[in-house]
Amino acid sequence: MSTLQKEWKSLWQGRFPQALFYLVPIVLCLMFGAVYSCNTVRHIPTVILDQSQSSLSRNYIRLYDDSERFDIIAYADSSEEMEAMLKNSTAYAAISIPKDFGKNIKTGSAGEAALIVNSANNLIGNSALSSMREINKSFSAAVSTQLLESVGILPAHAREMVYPVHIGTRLLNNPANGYTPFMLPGLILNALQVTMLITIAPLFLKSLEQREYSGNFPCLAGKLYAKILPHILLGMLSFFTALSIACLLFDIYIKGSLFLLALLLLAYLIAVTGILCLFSSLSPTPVLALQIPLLYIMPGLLFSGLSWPTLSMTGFAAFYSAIMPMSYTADTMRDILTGGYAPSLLHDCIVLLLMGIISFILACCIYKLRLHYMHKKAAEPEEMPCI
Amino acid sequence: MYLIYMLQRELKELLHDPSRALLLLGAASAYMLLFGALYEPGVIKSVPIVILDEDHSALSREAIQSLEDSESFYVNSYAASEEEMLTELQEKNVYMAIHIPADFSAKISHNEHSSILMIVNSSNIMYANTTSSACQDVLNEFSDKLAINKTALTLNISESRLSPRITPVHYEYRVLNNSTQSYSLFFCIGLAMTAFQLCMYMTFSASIQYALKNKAEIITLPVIPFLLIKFLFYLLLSLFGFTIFYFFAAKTFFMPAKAPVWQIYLLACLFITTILSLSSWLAALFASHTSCVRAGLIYVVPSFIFSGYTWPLESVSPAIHIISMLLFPLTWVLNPMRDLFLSGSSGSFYLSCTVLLILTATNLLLGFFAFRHKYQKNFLCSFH
Repeated sequence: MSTLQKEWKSLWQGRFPQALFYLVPIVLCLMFGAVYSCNTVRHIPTVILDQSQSSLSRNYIRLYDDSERFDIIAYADSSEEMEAMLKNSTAYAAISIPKDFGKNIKTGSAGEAALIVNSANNLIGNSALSSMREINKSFSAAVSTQLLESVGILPAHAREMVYPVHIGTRLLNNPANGYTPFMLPGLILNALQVTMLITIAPLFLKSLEQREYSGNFPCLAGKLYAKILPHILLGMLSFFTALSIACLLFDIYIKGSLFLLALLLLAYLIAVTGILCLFSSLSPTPVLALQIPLLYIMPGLLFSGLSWPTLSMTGFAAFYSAIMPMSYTADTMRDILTGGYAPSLLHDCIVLLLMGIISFILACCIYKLRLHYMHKKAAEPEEMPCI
Repeated sequence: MYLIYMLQRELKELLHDPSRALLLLGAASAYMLLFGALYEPGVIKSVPIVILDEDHSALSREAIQSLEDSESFYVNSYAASEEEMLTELQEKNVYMAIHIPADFSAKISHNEHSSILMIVNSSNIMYANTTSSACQDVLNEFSDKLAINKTALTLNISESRLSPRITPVHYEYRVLNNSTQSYSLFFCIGLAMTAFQLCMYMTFSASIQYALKNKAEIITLPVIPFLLIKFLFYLLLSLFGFTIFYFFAAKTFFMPAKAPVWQIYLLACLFITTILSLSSWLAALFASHTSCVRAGLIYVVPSFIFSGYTWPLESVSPAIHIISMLLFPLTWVLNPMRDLFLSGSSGSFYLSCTVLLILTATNLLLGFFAFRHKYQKNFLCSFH
């Protein structure tokens, strides 16, 4: 209890109290929320090359003009001009309509249109292509209906004929298919992980240098855990404050139980702190205690399955993902938030707790061993200088 | 003479702390390998789906067959009821469900339209985009074929004559620069450069901090040449680190480096000078190297997100756009670098180079003043 009180006090001492680091997830939540405030990729700069100049081509272009996904920024006079705009990234999408587009459609032979997308950024490429497909399908169905009407088929009947199978779409959990519910909770979790790294990683080492604790193993482990407990409490507080802000200001909602969310977060923090204690006990200097976990902690977000799915990870990537605490938290947390359910919650909590407990026991063993050698070295008599 | 002497001292210092050299030379390549392994399949394939076919007709089986033929997903199970289908989705055994209603073929044979319902778990939008786009493509094609076939029978016209009236426009899609829309091409360059930025910052700030705490380090030279030689040493070393990354990217991951080498290296060089000069004054600002590293760790993720590398800057508010341009040098590096690698040119290359040059000059100036101030505070005051 006295260790706990001492650590809690030390968190608030100094010119820059360590407790202030727990504001990082909140600040980053505000920053990232502002970046993703549009929720979907819109206003893709688009260039049009309309060589047909027919009413049909103009109707087709109007569909793109009306869509908020595309911003028509220029009408090119030649294909060279269009290509140049794509090449220098002035435009990310281009629509090229050939000379005989309108004429071909009217005479019953199919018209052609070329749609070009710069997909160096996949988010732009995906968004442009999926919107283009939707617009093109609508345009084709409308033109086709008119063509059948011109051969004497009733309008309602013609519509049924050209488009016999409709596709209804229901999006579960993230109905707007938005980026904020997809990424923001995971980014807050990652910010929390970085905060834990910068506060906990040098902790064991500092205590070791000061030869703060000794005694038998359970007593030592208890004292060391009391040292990190205030960090877990502050971490919980920081995360829930950031999440509340995200719910208030951005497109985040909590469908599931807050209790389950807190349980998962607690298991996650136990795992992260345990692993960081292990790194801390192994490191020779405080700076290295921050640097050594870099290759392990920093890629956590991308290996967690939050964006790139776990199912698509193979070999080393699948293994690496399996040893990251984030992999058992980020996706499950998003499920609780957006769907209200998380089928793997129990499994994930057990894995996280095991990770945390085993790492912490190992860290304590190493701590005790290092302490033992430090005492032994101090007790050794200094060698007499040769005369 | 001084130059060689100082470079030798820098080398000695580096060998004394080999972790610095390791970070500077190996970080970008290590992250390239790490993320290359992660995004190795390139695109998302074989997403598990469930099908509920209440129609059990030849037509519904034909629709299912065309879905089964797609490599974007695989049919994990066939549900017997709607509850079972929804349970499969909820249990996350599948990420998409296809529901074919009982009157599917009957409605079509009566020349009415019928609907197929696609239910997608959209919590991970990467799954949602892959599955829904592929499914729409497959079912639209199926619908078009059916429309041609049925209308040809109704109007007694040959299918070949009718086809251009049912599908009056042929759309030719051309995807430039990353034709398979591979995620490894899209992500790896930026992630490796972000790691490189962090490691340059950590190593150079360590060196500055070391100098500011050891008087013997600076005593031999005035502050400006001392700083410049240090800067030059780390610039050369970082360029070597970038070369290792470039080799890995091109040889191991077959990343197309389409632009002329001088353009890639010029951008890399200016990127390095910007980060080193930024590190010089930040290092002088912090009391200890631990604080320096902490600041770097907090900065790294926002710098990547704000750079517009993934989320395009066209889709952010003007205020965020300005913040990105002013506070995060990666904004001027990542997109042009990816463009140089993948498309061979970048529209913002010269602008980015100019901005990076200005940033380098400004940061160097700040670095000089901050270093001199800290040096005077640390040594001259205590001396007097």
